[in-house]
Amino acid sequence: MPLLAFEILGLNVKPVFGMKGRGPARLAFERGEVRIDYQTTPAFITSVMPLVEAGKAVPLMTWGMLDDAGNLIRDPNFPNLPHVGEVYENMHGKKPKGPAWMAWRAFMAAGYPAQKMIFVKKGTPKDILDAWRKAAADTINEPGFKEAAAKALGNYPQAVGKQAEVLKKVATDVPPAAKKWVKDWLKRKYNAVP
Amino acid sequence: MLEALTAALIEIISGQHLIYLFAGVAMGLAVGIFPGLGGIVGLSILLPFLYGMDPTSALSMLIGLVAVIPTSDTFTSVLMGIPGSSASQATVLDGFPLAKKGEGARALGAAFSASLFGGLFGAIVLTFVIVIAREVILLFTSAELFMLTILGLSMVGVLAGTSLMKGVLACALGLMVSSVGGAPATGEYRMALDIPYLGDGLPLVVVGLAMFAVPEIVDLLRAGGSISRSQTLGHGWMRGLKDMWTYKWLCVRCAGIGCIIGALPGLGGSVVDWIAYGHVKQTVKDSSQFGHGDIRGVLAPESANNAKEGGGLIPTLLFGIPGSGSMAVFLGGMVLIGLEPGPSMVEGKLNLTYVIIWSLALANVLGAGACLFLSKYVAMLTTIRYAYLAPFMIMVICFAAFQAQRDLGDLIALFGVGLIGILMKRFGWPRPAFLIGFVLADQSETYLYQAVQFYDWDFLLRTGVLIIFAITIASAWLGARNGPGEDSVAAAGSHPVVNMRPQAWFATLVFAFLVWGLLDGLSQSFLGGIYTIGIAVVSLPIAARLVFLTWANRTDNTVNFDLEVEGDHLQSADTPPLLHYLLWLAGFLVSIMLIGFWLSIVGFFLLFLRVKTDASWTRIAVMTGCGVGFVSALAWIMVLDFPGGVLQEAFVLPWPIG
Repeated sequence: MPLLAFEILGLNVKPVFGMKGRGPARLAFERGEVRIDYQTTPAFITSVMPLVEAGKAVPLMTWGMLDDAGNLIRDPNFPNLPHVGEVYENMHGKKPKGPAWMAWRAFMAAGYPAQKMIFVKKGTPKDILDAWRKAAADTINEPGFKEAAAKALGNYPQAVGKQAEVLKKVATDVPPAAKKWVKDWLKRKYNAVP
Repeated sequence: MLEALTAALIEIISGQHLIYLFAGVAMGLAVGIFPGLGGIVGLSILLPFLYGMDPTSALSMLIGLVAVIPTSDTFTSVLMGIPGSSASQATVLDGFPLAKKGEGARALGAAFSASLFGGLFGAIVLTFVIVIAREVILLFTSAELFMLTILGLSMVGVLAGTSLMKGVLACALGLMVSSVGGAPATGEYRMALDIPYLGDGLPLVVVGLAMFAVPEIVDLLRAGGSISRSQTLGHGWMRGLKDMWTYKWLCVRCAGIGCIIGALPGLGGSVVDWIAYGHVKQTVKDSSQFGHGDIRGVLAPESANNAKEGGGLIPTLLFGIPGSGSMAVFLGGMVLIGLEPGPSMVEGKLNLTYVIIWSLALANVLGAGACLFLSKYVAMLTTIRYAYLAPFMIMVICFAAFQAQRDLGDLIALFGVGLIGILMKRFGWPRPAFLIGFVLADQSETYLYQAVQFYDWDFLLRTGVLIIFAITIASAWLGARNGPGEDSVAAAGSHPVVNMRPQAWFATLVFAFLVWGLLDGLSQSFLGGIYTIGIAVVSLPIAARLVFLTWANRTDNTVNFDLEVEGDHLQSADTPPLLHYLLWLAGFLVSIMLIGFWLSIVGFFLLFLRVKTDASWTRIAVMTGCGVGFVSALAWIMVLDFPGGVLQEAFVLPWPIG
């Protein structure tokens, strides 16, 4: 996903494959082997913020967050950082669009806000479905939940009910042109065969 | 720093902290004693209980557990010849021969005092180093880390035994077996035969147990009798302490090695013991007794593996990157109790870091003391007739292996690789070399790709790389100087083996496997296949020569070795053939596939004890009940379902059967 974002922005970044997760990648960044890196919010707050404060790292942008309507907005944890869409606008003077952008948005939704979803079987009676939805809504309104979640995940709202459906749609409803674009891109650039 | 240190010490000696630390130590002792159950299992058992505990107590329990496992795992390594966990595999090489000679108590005494020393050494070093460690660790880039894996691989020469050729091939075999599964750079599946289990590669726990435990169990059973051939325990644990004192500088060096290797993130703690062992073997004047019960071969890995846990805390606490499997779970525990690793651990939270370090030291003292106290009693196990112990051993190693992926494949892999281990033992292929190859394959490949991607091939000219390269050459030279060769010439003249056919078949199989690795590598993309191709290209000529030598029946060559003919204790007429116990194991495995693990182990206990011992049915029932009851309780705590077979697929059965 970072590679796709870099591609869209038109950045010339040489990727290094075979990293065993983001921890070792961050270490390689600190060693100076990697010059641009990305981390998830909790890791950024605990491990990268000290580097930023020490002047050893410069934050560039966030992947942003999807609002209730599925629009990309700034990440509430980092309100001063532009999201990738804004960066594109600054660089190219227009809003990002087209199949590559649609694909990136789908990956972003699937990878972050909609990464862990709770589903029930199709045809589940409405009253049971409503009970589940209410339970989910009650859980996130439980006192203390917000603080605990912020610690584990970063300060993000949890999507329930309608919002969750919006996220699912963004993540799974991908236009065929975007799918084709991604396949072609992977083939062209990394010689990967799906 | 001093302020933080005193604050930490006050906290440690407060009563509550000590109690929880002791609880952790007790649990670590229990887990470590069982072969194959290492820190990962112990911490997995502990984690559920940590919820809701206050952070300091939880932390002390965690540390108690982590610190003591490399001490208590020595019991099985020395007494049974089965590595208690991956940290004490090298201890087996000399510890077990000592136990066989009836000097088990001496070996244990030496091992525990070395462990204690290593642990304390690690803590002292850590106290001073942790403040500056961050910068030092950052000097080790992927290029230097790759070179360090090469240094590790160069130890093979020292551990090769009588034939360097077989040593190199065993290592190549280990590298090749380890590269089964997803390729680090591209994720392509290599040699996985479309079997999902192989997609992740074979787990280290399984391979370690298969290489050392399975062959040992089979051999001990065939030899009959008990482990200790002289029926005495050898009351020598005081002598073990003295041994440690005599070789104190050796222990200092090995503890230093343990600290450094433990501190480097991503190198993996499981090679520490081998590197220490290799280092000692190549630097002492007379290394002829290594492998036959040299006390220094026990001191070296034991002082190193306890120091390693101290070193391993550095990357875990500072970078949030665990240096070993047990540290990974330790990290999980830290996060669970709300402690975030990172630079703040040496700034604002320095006193907490010191609490961790000195709890580790204290746990080492407690653990070593308890082990010394227990060793007299545990050592008695070696005087029990082995047929009584075998079912317990087989059950525990199956249980341990099954922890790896919680898949039936773990057990199949255990017995499959175990068969290779048995054959390697029989034909004198050095299993340590195999294991080093297996452990280092993944890291060396990963770091090689990263280094090449970062620096192109210029990485070979980096200063750090050149320094480590020089050390590698020096170590290889030292190894060649008093490694294999000398004793092999003498041994070759009087070889009683005249028929080399069995060896030839085994060599041919290895050759074929390497060819398969080559062909498989050629079918992958460049990055996915080049590593296995490289291994094959280097090792195939050597394998070809071995195949030629064995088929040509060159009995005078040093490669010639067959334990079936030369083994001194296998000569008597009533020793059952090798196949006999292989069939027992195979029958057990088939039974697991059919009716599941739980029913099979009950059946195996009953049948085996009845046939192989003269125990009464009552006694057999009690032993079976104790054994199976124990694993069932353990499985219940760990929320574990035993592997099922065809029966379990067809019917829904109550736990633990289904």
